[in-house]
Formats: sequence, structure tokens, C-alpha cells
Amino acid sequence: MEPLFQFFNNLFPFISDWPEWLAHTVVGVVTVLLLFGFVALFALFAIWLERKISAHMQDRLGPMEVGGWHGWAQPIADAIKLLVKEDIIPAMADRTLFKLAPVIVFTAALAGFAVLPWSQDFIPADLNVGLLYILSVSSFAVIGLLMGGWASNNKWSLYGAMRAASQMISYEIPVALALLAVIMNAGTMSMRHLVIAQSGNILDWNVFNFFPLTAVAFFIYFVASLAEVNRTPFDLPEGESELVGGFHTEYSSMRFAFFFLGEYANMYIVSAIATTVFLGGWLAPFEALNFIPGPIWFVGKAMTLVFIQMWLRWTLPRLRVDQLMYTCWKVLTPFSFAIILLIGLWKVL
Amino acid sequence: MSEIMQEKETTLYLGPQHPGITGNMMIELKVTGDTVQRGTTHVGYLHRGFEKLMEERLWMQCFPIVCRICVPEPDPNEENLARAIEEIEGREVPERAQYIRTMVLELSRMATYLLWMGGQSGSAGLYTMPQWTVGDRDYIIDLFEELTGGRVYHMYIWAGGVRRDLPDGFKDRVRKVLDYLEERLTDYDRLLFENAVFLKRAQGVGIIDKEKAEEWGVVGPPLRGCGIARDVRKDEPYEVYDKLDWEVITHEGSDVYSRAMVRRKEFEQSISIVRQVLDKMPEGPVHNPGPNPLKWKVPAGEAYVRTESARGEFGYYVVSDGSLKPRRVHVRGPAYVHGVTLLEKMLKGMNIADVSFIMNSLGTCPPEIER
Amino acid sequence: MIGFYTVLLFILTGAFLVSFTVALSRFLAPTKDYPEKHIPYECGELPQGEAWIQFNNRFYIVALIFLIFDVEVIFMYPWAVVFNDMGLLAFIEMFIFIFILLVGLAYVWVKGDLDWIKPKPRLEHLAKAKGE
Repeated sequence: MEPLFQFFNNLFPFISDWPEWLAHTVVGVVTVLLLFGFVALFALFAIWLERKISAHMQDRLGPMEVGGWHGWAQPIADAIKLLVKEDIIPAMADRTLFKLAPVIVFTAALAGFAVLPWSQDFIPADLNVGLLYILSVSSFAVIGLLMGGWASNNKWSLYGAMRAASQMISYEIPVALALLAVIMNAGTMSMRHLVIAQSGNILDWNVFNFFPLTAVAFFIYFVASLAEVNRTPFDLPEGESELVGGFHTEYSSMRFAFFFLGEYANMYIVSAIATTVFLGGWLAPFEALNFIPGPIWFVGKAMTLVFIQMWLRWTLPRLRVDQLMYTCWKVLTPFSFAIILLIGLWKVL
Repeated sequence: MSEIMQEKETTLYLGPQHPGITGNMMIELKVTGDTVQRGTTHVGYLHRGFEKLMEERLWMQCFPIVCRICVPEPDPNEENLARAIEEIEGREVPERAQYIRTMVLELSRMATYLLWMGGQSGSAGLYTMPQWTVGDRDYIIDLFEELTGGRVYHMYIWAGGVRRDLPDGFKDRVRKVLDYLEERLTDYDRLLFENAVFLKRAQGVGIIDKEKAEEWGVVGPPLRGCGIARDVRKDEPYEVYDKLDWEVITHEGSDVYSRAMVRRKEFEQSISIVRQVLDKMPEGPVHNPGPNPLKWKVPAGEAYVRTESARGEFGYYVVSDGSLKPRRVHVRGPAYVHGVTLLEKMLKGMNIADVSFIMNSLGTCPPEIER
Repeated sequence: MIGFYTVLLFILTGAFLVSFTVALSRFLAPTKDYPEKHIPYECGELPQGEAWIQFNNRFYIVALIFLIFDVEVIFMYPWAVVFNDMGLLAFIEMFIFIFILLVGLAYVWVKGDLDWIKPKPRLEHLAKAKGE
């Protein structure tokens, strides 16, 4: 029995009476809608948070008016504004690809949520290749970005898309290798079992395994994941002082909003992967704190990483493209290979 | 490999409407991949013809016009025009006025450097710095507002002295702001000037040839960033600079980083200069009045004066034919040399990402190119 | 396999939701159309030349290297899963595999294909740069 189905069956016992295909479809669609709601809410919250964090780092207040308390309704107002904006497609654009690009980017991000384990029971799809799946799905976004940038028929967009593509695929190697270091020990790719293998207290988390090897792997993963989601110091695809808006220069209205949503959803996904693989997922750091439910731990840890991503954005300048490639191929990749070999050696001896 | 395959050149327009460009000008880039092969600067989006305008104005009416030549730092322009007129007329400037002028010039230099720090780090994608520096620049602007009544255009320095004396307690408020900025400089160091990523971006980028720098007419921080100690304040002291204790700051390297360090150290030095000025400032009148401005005829003659502004040497050549209006006012600013000819030379072989980075390090100011 | 069915539902529903929202926005948003709105953005100038240009081949070289490495990483994942059970043999095998990989990386490194072009100022006037 799938954990997700069991979860819903416990809540609503009557669904086990339905035909199997119907029950699974209903459960699946309800989960997607729930997670879509979560993504939208998270993005709105993250946008608000980013604006407030940047404001306070920069001696400003940020949005204060809309909604009363510290401008909490500002992102909602922004979302409504984007919804009622005119949708403009450039004259010479490839219209089909132009329209398809945001769909791919956002769907890829949403599909990544399918294997995130929120707690022991609630995991939408507990695939036995979960980690591999999430890596492959998240690289779908590259295709969307490339499509969007190319279809816009704008030089800045094309440059942004090309940079995004070369950057994201390059940094996929260190990401995959860093995660591999953990799988070698855990012996599973299921997101759920990866977390279960870390049960215990904080010292059983993977990040403290083979100290300091996995910790270095975690660091490599985090740096590379910044590049995966185009955050500073790796935000070259959309660096405004060079490429104006990068791949989404020509996008407006809801299509732009979905690029934006996809970006924030990806920020959450990479943080959630780091949480699951390195930081013990839904587990509490100490036995004594077990009374706090798992999802709160999970979201809390992921949000901490998201906060660090935002923090870095407002303290670091952007790298140049040759330095970016240097960091990936000549620093992170050799180091992650070394870590895999060292962990293998450690385990064998 | 890349030598074999001929890549096609693409034309990219950077500006006039581009987030990385300082002001309204355009750089036409011929690029292959993301390497710039040629860069051509196009100006003319801001032309207002200040020099010609001044030929149709009374002498007094020229002062509000020269302020507009470079928006971030109007004071060196006023100073230049005032000194040129004084030289033609042979008018004395009271000593207190000279001290006040020095203080105003140094404060305006600090304000411009703050703006520049923001632009430099903004062009590298760090947007915290502009918010900080523009916020801190406001303290200096507030001082100017109290002193002159204007926040951006001061029209404070005029022929024969300055427009009015310091308000009560002004010196203390200046000292307070200086203390604050000095303390704040450590924050800037930690955020930008010692930031590893910034060093990576800035060192070895945008190199000016040291041997040719003077020949090309490079001035100000870019020249001192080549290790050449040239500063009008020292070479040809005006006002009270020769009575103060300060050194010309140079930095070897001739790259973006050395220019940044020159500015950063000069900022610190300006604080000390203003402190000395405040300590040594004598009492006395601040203005040596001339005739009624409406009937003010400057005797026939000509003068060339120079001032060290935050972006380099500003020269004014003023000719009077003895009438109510100037015969000719010629402005020789640093931005044309830096922003047009030098920039075009430096862009060859650069990455697209470095274009606005280098441009900011030179301190280009498009309105001044087209005075 | 039900997990994969859920994933399929995720993709279908996600695509539907995006299309639905975009359609909703088209329905809500005003259209005040004129031709200038559809000109591609080129910093205030009229676009010149093709935007679909021949692009720098370096990007494709990077893509090629990525492809090789990614395929190899895919091979390593199943190995990592069973690593605990296989022990020394698996380690030696994978060591050989990684070694070959690293030789490849070293080759590409030495050949200079990992280098993005470093901005080398081509200053004709600069004697030092000419000498280099």
C-alpha cells in the first residue's frame, strides 16, 4: 500500500470502497492541488520574505502599507496585478514555443514536489528511484528556459537562455555527485527511506556522517544548487546589469509570473532535497523534540536553507561566466569525485 | 578549436535604456559569443548645449547653468566658473570663504564617491551597497540643504566668495556626519572592498596602459589608479589645499580594483581634510561683493582654471569681451576622455558582463560628455 | 508503480493549472494593442539583424562534456545503492571506472575545453599584452 493512499484512507475511510483507479486518481489530483496551493503560498511568502530581508539588510523597511502588518498582503497585490496585466508576445517570436516555455518550467518544478517526503506518512509518490527522479525532473526546467529564451527572438533572451543552459547542466554534475556520496552509505534512492535511515538524534544525520566528508559534500551540493536555481552569486542568466532580464526579458503578465513561481518553487525544492538527504528530513534533532510534527521540521529546515539563499543574494556580487565555469568544472567536480572515493575507501576499510 | 571556427559577429546595443549603464548613452557592441570585439559609444541622448547657452546669459545667470553639467557633483563646476571670473576681474576672495569652499568641494567629493560605490557594486550584481551608500549620501545632502537651500544643485559658490555664511552649529553637525561616515566605512569594507567575489571580479579587469595613460588625457582616480601621482589639488593648489596636511593617493595595478581602492582611500582622506578645514577656519566675511548682477560687466580677458573633481580634472576656459555676457565658456571635463575614447579602447576583448563594470569604474557621466 | 501514476497526475495537472491560469489572465486582462508593443526589447533602439544567431560553439562543448559526465553519473547511482552489499569488489570496479572518467576530465582540462574564454584585453597599444 502506498503511503499517500494510506494517509488519505485514514482520513477518509470511504475511499477504499471506490474502484482502485478512481481512488488513486482522486487522491493524486487532490494532492497535486494541495501542493500547487502550497507552491503558490510559499512563493508569495518567499517573495514577501525576500523583500523584507533585503530591505532590512539594506537599511530600509520594505513594503509596509498593503494589508497593514508589515505589508503582508503585498505579494497578493502583486499576483493580482500580474493576473490582470496585458499579455504581450513579440512580433517575430515563435509563438508555440513562447507559450509552452513557462508551462514546462513550472510543471517541472511542480513535478519535483511529487517525491518530497513531508513526514513519515505524507509523501505523494514514494518512488524507489526518488532522488534520481527529482534530479531528472528538475533538469527539465533547462529545456523550458532555452525554449523561452530562443522563442522570444531577442538577443538578450537568447544570451540569457544560453547561459542558463550551460550553467545549469554544468552544475548538475557536482549536485549529482554530492548526493551520490550519501546514497553510497544509505543504500537507497527512495526519499522516504533516506530519511528513515537517519533516525536518531542530530548526530545521526547524514551531514555528520564520515565527518567531515559528507559535510563537504553538503557544502558542494549547496553551492551547486545555488547555480541550479540561478541565485546570486550565480545569477548570470538574469543579471540585469549585463543581460537586462535574461531569458524572461520579453515575458509579461501570467507567463512571467510562472517563470517567477517556478524559480521560487525550485529554490524550495533544492532546499528540500538538501533537507531530506543531509539534514534528516522531517526528523527532530533531539528525541525530546519529537512532539513537534514532522512537516513542521521539514518545512522549517528547508526554509532555513531558503533564507540562507536569500541572505547570500544580498551579500555577494555575481561571478563572471568564465569564473562560473571554473568553479564548477575545476573545483566542485574534482572535489566531489574525491569525496566519493574517500567515502568508498572509508567504508571498505 | 575556436580559432578554426569563424564566429559571426552580433550587434548588441547597451543603452540608452539599459539597467547597467550610467545615464543616457549607448554602447554599440560587436560581440562573438560573449566576448566584445569592438565597442562604439554613441552619445547625444542628453544634449542641452550648456556652453552655447551661457553665451546668451548674464554672468550671474551662468552659475545655475554650470551646476547642471554634472548632476552628482555640481560644486566643482561652480568653483571653476567663480575662480575663472575672479582671475579675470582680479577680485579677492576672503579667507573664510576659501575655507568654506574647500569644505563644500570635499563634501561633494564624498557624496559623489558614495554614489559611485553604489554604482560599482550594483554593476557587479550586489544591490545592498547602493542602498546603503545612497542612504548615507543623504546625510551629506542634508548638510548641503541646510547650508545652501538646495539638495542637488547648490549654486553656493559664486564670484567673490560664497553665498552665505555657515548656519549656527553647522560645524558640529558636519563633524557628526563625518564621524558616522568614518565608522560606516568599515561596513563598506566588509561588504564590498574586501569581498572575495568582488576582488575576483575587479582585479586584472579593465587595465589602462600606464605609459599611455597621461598621453590619452586620463585624469583623476583612473590615473592615480595607475600609480601616477597627479592631482590638481597638489600640482596647482587652489583655495586652501596647500595649507592642509594631505597626500596624493595612488594605487598600483591600473585595474578596476585599484581605481576602487583609490576612491575608497580618498574618501577617508576627504573626511580628514574636512576636519582640518573645520579646525582651521578663521572668522571673517564670506563674500567680496561685486557690482549689481544685472549690470555686471566682467573686464575683457581670459582665464583657464582647473579643479580636481571626484571624477578627475575639470578645466574651464572663460573668455570675456567686457560685455554683460561671456564671450565663450569652454568646459573640459573628464567624462569625455573616460567615457568615450578610453572606454572604446578598453572594451576590446572584454566579457559582456564587464562592460558596465568597467564603465562604472571610470566614473562616466553622460550629461557632462555633451555639455 | 502507483507512484509513477501519481507523478503522471502531477505533470498533467500542473500543465493544466498553468494553462488555465494563463487563459484566465487573458480573459481578465485588458488588450490595448498597437504594433510598437510587439517590437523586441533592444534597449530603446530598433532591433538590428537577426536574433537567432550562430552561437558560440563553446556552449555546445560544455553540453557535450556534460552529456558524458551525466551518463557516467547515471551508471554510478545503481552502484551506490548496492555498494553496501558488494564491498571491496564494487569499490575496486568503481575505482577503475572513476579513474577512466578522471583521465577524461584531465584530458579535457589539459586541452583547455573547460576554460571559458577568459577576458583577455586585446590592447594593441599594450606592449606587455602583445608580448604574451
